[in-house]
Amino acid sequence: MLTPRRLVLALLGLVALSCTVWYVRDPRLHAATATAATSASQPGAGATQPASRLRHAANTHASHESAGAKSVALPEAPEPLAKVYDVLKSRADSGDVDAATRLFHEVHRCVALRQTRRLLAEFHAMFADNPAASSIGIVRGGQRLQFLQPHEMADYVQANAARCDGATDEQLDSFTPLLLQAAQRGDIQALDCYVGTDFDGMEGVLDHPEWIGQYRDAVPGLVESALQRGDWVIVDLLRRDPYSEVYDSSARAQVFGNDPVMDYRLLRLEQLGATDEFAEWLAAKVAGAAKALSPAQLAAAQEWATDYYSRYFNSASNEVAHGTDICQITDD
Amino acid sequence: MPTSMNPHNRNRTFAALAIVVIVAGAAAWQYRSDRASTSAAPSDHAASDADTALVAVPRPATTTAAEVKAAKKPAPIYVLSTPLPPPNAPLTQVYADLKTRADAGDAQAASRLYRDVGRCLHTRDVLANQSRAASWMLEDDTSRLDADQLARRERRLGTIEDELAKARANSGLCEGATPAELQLAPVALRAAQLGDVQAADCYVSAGLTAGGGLLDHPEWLQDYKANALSLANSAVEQGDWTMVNQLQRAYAQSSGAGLLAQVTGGDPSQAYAYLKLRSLGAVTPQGNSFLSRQLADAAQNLPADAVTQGDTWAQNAYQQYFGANPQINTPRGFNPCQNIGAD
Repeated sequence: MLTPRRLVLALLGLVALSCTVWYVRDPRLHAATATAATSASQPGAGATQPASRLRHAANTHASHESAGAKSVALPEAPEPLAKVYDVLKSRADSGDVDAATRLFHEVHRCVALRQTRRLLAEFHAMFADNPAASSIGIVRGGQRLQFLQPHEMADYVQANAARCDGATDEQLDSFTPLLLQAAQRGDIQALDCYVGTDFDGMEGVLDHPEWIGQYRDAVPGLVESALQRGDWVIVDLLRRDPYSEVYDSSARAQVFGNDPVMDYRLLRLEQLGATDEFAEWLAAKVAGAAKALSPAQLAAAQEWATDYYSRYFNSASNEVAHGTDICQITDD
Repeated sequence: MPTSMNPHNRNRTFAALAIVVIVAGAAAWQYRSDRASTSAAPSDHAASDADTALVAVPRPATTTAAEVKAAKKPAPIYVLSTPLPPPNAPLTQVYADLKTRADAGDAQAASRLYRDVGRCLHTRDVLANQSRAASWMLEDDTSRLDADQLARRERRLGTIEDELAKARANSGLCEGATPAELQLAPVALRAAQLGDVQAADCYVSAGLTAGGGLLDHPEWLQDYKANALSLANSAVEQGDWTMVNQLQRAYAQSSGAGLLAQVTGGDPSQAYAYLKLRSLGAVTPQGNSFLSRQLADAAQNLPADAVTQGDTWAQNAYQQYFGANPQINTPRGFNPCQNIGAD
């Protein structure tokens, strides 16, 4: 079980797109109330896995390395965002990388807090009188699942509210450009988050249409850099949902288009890093994806996957076997 | 598909599906509405209240039914529509003519173009995605599936085959359509502006991303900001429950509320007023009870006069706009941009 200090959230606006919120039934009440659930263990399994679901695949992520020059001391960490935003922004705009990094993380925290509050309110409005409701489930893109515990979310709100009190919508809506900056500086978690963001999850985008072009220009390079850092998360994020029968209107899909070769490459790469059941599961997907390719395309794609795996990936891909959670924030 | 998912995900997904069934059983009523199909010129009486404070009186509640009726509306556009092209005319042959007529204010041509483009998008997606899904399903190891799982798999494959057959039948109508002709946002906007409520539902919900093109047309965001709320309000005035739901979720800043939530901003008073309106359209006693509890919860955080005014506005709106369409009947999870123009 996660403690509030280690609570990791994947709750940003990007999950809002096409997401459905429901509750996970408390397994203790399952026997008394379930007639539709297929087995008692399944809801319980979902409800008891938030730690593994929410914990980022840490070993896929190189720690952020500040590339900038030493700067003067930053404001004390517990200072509220509203108090430090302007000074950090000013320093970041002047090229202070540490200030930019700090600003990104502070805004990230408060954006996550805002989203957490919204989800909690929605949960309580829908299920407050339902004692079977013990967790919140989110499906994004029709398949990726997250299970969040309302009491943990409430703890997160309580622990971070003071640091975000007084932050304006304008400050919070600066998250998207800050996220891009962090991704371009080399923060791999920010990179995954940015690539996985959808346009209607970019709060403030209606006033900043230039963010669309920035996304299109930046994403291909960011993806390549993530691949060359052995990031399984980006592999899992970009390969299309094998069973999706609907048009993928995500921002990243609009950038890369319908590309069977890319689908195969990424599936094959993920397969090379997989073991056990995950490898078996991927083998079927790889075989299916191969049908769309000519023999020459297939050979080239296999060569690409083998090359990238041997050069850049030195860990198992099983860590993304449960799906990819992006845009998480760890309370520090 | 559960029968062939990542085994690590499979249990959770089964659980999730079961959970969805449970929730749907408890609350499916809330998403049901009738997709009004009447056409009328949209009004633009409502403006964004994005900066309204939490205690502000909701805009709907400050407007009586009579005031709503008298609110400023653009002059209706009357265009005598010449006959539309035959139903089975290929999109590439009719696009330019329909576009010209739509731009000139021909509502029928605009709606036809929206549906033809939507149909071709659907056809394209079915042919691409369902073919892929089927090929992947056929590669799955079925040796460990029990009888029920095998039966579900067969049913799913049968459904995909039916969808593919329909798509193949339509593919001739869409052959040669360019990416620009398959952009949904501009045709949805035009049809919505000329009174097509279903087009408005799609445009407001996900019209900017549903058919692609936003990467090349970021100016669509400004169009959306300028038009979405007035189109949404107009749809409500035409008895559109789908839009009531969208506005309620937008004002509540609910997850999945999309770009409309950025236009409206958060406003608990307005969210309450639209929630109240939804409660009046509840179909079942269970649904009514469920929404009543939500209303009571929402009211706790509002001043009494905001609750009163929200109740009054909702009653007036219900009587004035939903007389011919009194019950919500939009299926849960309804996507207004999916299956456009499907038979």
